[in-house]
Parts: sequence; structure tokens; C-alpha cells
Amino acid sequence: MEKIIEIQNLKKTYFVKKKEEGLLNGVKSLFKTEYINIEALKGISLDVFDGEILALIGPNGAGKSTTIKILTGILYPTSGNANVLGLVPWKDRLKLAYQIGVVFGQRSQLWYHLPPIDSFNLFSKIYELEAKTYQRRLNEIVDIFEIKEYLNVPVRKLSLGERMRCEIALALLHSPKVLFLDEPTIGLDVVAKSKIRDFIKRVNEKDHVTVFLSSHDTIDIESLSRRVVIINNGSIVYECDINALRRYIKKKIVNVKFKGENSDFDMKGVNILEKKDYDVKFEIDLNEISQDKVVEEIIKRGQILDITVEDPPLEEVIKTIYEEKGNLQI
Amino acid sequence: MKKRVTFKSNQFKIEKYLELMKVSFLSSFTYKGDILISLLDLFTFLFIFCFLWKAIFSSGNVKIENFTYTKMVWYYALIFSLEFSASKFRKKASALIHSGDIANFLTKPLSYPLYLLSDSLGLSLFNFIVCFPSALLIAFGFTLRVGFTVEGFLSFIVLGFLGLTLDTLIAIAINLLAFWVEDVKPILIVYIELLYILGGQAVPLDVMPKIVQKISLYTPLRFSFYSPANVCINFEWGFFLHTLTNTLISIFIILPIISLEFFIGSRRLSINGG
Repeated sequence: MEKIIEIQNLKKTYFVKKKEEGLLNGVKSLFKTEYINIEALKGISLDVFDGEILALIGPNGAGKSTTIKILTGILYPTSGNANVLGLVPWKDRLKLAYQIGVVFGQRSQLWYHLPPIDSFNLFSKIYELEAKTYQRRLNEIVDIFEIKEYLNVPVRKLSLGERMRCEIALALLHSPKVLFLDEPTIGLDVVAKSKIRDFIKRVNEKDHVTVFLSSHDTIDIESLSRRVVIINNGSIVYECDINALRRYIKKKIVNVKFKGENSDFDMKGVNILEKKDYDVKFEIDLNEISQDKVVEEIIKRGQILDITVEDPPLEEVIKTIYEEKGNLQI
Repeated sequence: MKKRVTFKSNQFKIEKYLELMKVSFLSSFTYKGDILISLLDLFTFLFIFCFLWKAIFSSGNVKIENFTYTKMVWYYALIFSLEFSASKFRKKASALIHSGDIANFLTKPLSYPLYLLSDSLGLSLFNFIVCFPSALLIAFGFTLRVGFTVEGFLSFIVLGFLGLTLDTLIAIAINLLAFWVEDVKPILIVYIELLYILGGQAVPLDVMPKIVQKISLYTPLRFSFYSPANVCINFEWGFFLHTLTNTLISIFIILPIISLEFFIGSRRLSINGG
């Protein structure tokens, strides 16, 4: 598969003015300003391939947004190299702009007092779309994102979920090859989040758009991406396939629905996480005991109506990775 | 990785900025309360100045430095209609830099300074359509005559548009200092004060002390509001062409300054957080 984005040893340091408390220090700072160096990125390297959905996950201040801002040409890195579609983002920002779509979950690009259709018309001019191409593309994305009924309603009257659908649709108007999404589901309710995920999947499959996603939300990651990059304190701490990530912790969760009362379970490497009536949730430590042995033992103990075995929640896996790789700062 | 992008960037295409002006103009319709306050401000200022000069002229003066009472009233009507069209934009650009919302514009094939200019001119155009007829009505009410010729009126439209452009560009140049300083407000206040004195907003420059007039000659401030109003009420082709040339020169001097500021400033940009 072709590489769409290449990042090599990318570093970014912010220089922030040091402000100490007190009047005397305030006066001193007038004559001598001290700066604190904040290393937002400490040399990350990463490749993104054509058509994939890559998720960048990490706590606040991990460097997710800084990475996206460098890759979209907004910020200059302190050192290192990056290539997006064969262009260096901070040098070829304007050329690259035609080929990428960007959505910042916390910053709107729709005109607040006007209906979304005015923003779509404006973007068609900004991206120099011909009238026919624009109309065809508008119809396509209006269908995909199901926003026909919102097109003529002022943005300020739309719910956050409706607005975000319009935001992503707007970012896709010029048919970009890569879509950068910086926390696109932030602040949305469960239903709206789920819809946004469906739309992103559809665009990725239908238009073959490569998606570079940053999020706090593990469900976003689970339902959208095939590959995950975990970033913390400006460094990549883990990079793997989504299934491998689920298996990172050598644990399994077994949910059992017994037909009647069952005796207490006491096996080495097995913990009872939850017990309600005849429903029991076990956690198996695979370093201590195999999954098969535990299931066999459960079956022996009583009549079973239902049994499921699953991986531990992604949230817990990621938390474990942060803890193991050190310096957890959330 | 093979080089795939061959699209030539065309950030200066005029259609983009005309559409931006249109959207900004349309967006202004929602600020009904602001429009009413603006009009109220305009009426208050014009009434105060008209009554003030009426008192001065009624104490025996027929002319003050080539200004009759009628000319003076029309001068204020014209200069205030420009000032009230322009004043709303002055802090937006720096706010976008400090809030980090500039990020949304840097990912588009746009010139950020030209985006700011079109956004501001769209808003100014709307304000002008509201303020200009109102100011003319008040001036007519005070003088019971029209204070300019057809040529004067047309010159005012041309020079007024260029004056607003110049004023916006100076405001953008100041706002872009937000890449370096935390608060550009004090600099903007100095600019507005200077505009009041050296730009002929408080009183016509002709009435000002000679030293102020001389200093004003070395600044572009007179071309924002003073010159369009002055040429309109004292129209002569030579005067008009001289003012037009100087205004255009001022604009072409400030444009590369803004480009340089943005070129250097955008490299220093740091937007923390999402």
C-alpha cells in the first residue's frame, strides 16, 4: 500500500513566557523575560497508508493536536521531516490545502449566523470548484451526511451533532484525499457520536479518503480505526493493529448467565468483577490460567444459559499502556 | 512515496474574496441590535458636532479656514458615515490569532490578510449602507441643502471605499502584531486617537494648528476618512486625482508590510490545545 503521510523524528518545542507570582517578579519580568521550553513533540516517526483510518490517541497535552497542526501546515516543527501527499506541509501549505480536509472538533468553520449552504457556497469558491462539479459533490455529501434539512437553517439553531455533521461534510466538499479530524466527537451525545462514526466510515469506504483521527474516545478508535498510535508526553508509546491492542493485556472477560444459584468460584488467576443474581462477570489472568480451563470449570459448576468471552475494555488497555510506559498525565 | 499533488495554489483569485465579502455582508444582517446602537451613536455624535459648530458660526464667523457652516455639517456627516462603517472590525484579527481560530483559515487555499480584508469590507459595506443615508438625512435637516456635487458624490464613493480599505489594512497590520505581543489593544487605541487628530475626525485638518497639518502630511491617516470627505465637499479633478494617487500609494506601501508581518508571524505561531 502506498504511503500517504510520512513523519520522521518530528519535534516541536513551544516557548512559553514564564510568569512568576508577586509584584516584584512582575516588575522583574519587564526587564528580563524568561521562557519555559515545552516539548510538545519529542521526535515522533510514523507512516500512514492510502485509504486507512489511523487513530492517534492520548491524554490532554500528549501532542495529538500539535501533530495534526504540523501535518496540515498550520505549525512549523522545531526539527524533523514530514511529507503529506508528497508535500512538506509547512512549506507547501497552500498547495496541500486543496488535497486535505481538516475538522477541529472545538473550532467551527461554518458561519455562525448563516445557514450552512452559505458556507458550502463560499467553500466552493475557495476551492475553485466548477459550478457543475460543486452541485454534484454537494448532492453527494448531503446524501451521505443526511443534512438536507439543515442546509437552510442558521448554524446557531443547529444542535452540536447536526453542526458537526455539516462541519465534516464541508471539509469533504472539495473531495480531499486525506481528512484530518481532531476530536470530532467531543461534546456529542451517544447517538450523535455513533452517527458521526458511521458517516466517517462511509466516506472512507465510498470515497477512499484516508482518515487521520485524533480522539480521547476509545469507542471512536474501536469502531473506526484498524491501526492505533498511542502518544503520551510528545512521544509515541505504542503503535499497533486494533486487535493486537485489545490483546495487549493478557486478560479476558467472561460473562456467564447461570440458570440457578452457583457456588462461589475460587480459582487462581480468576477474579469476580461483578455478581448480580445469576449473572457473573469474571476476569481471567491469562498469565496464570488458560481461558479453556476456566470455561471448563464454570460449566462444571452449574447449568449455564449463556456464556460470552471478550477482551477487556479498550479504555483499560490504554490506561495500562500509559502506566507501563510511564509518565501518565491526564 | 511518489509526488501526487500537482494542483497549483491560487490564493489570490478575486472570486474567493468577493464571495467572502458577500458572506460577511449577509452575516451582518443578524446584528440588528448592533445596527440600532450604531445609528444611535451616529445620531448623537452628529447632533453634538452640528450644534457645537452652529454655536461657533453664530458668534459672527462666516467662514473658518474655507469651511462654511454648511460645509462643516456635511463634512461631519461624510466623515462619520465612514468612521461608523469601519470601527467594528478593529480587534477581530488579533482575537483569531490568540484564540487559535486562525487554524481554520491556514488550512484553506486563502491569503489570510486578504481574508481579513474581505471580511471587514463586507461588514463595512453593510454598515455604510445603513449609516450613509442616515448621516445625509441629518446633514440635510441641519442645512436644508445638499453639500456636494454629483462628481463630489462619486469621488466620495471611490475614495471612501479606498479609505475604508486603507483603514482596515492599517488595523490588520496592527492586529498581526498579536503574533509577537499579548495585547494589541493599546496600540489600536493609539491608532484610533491619532486618527482622531491627524486623520481629521475631531475637526477638519484645515482648522488644526499648522504643526498638526504638517505632521499629518507625513502619515497615511488623512487618506482614510478626511480626504474622501474633503474632496467630496470641495470637489476639483486635480484634488481628486492627487488624493486618489496618494491613497493608492499608501495602500501599496502597507500591503507588503502586512505580507511580511504574516510571513514572519505565522512561523512563530503556537496554538496550544485542540
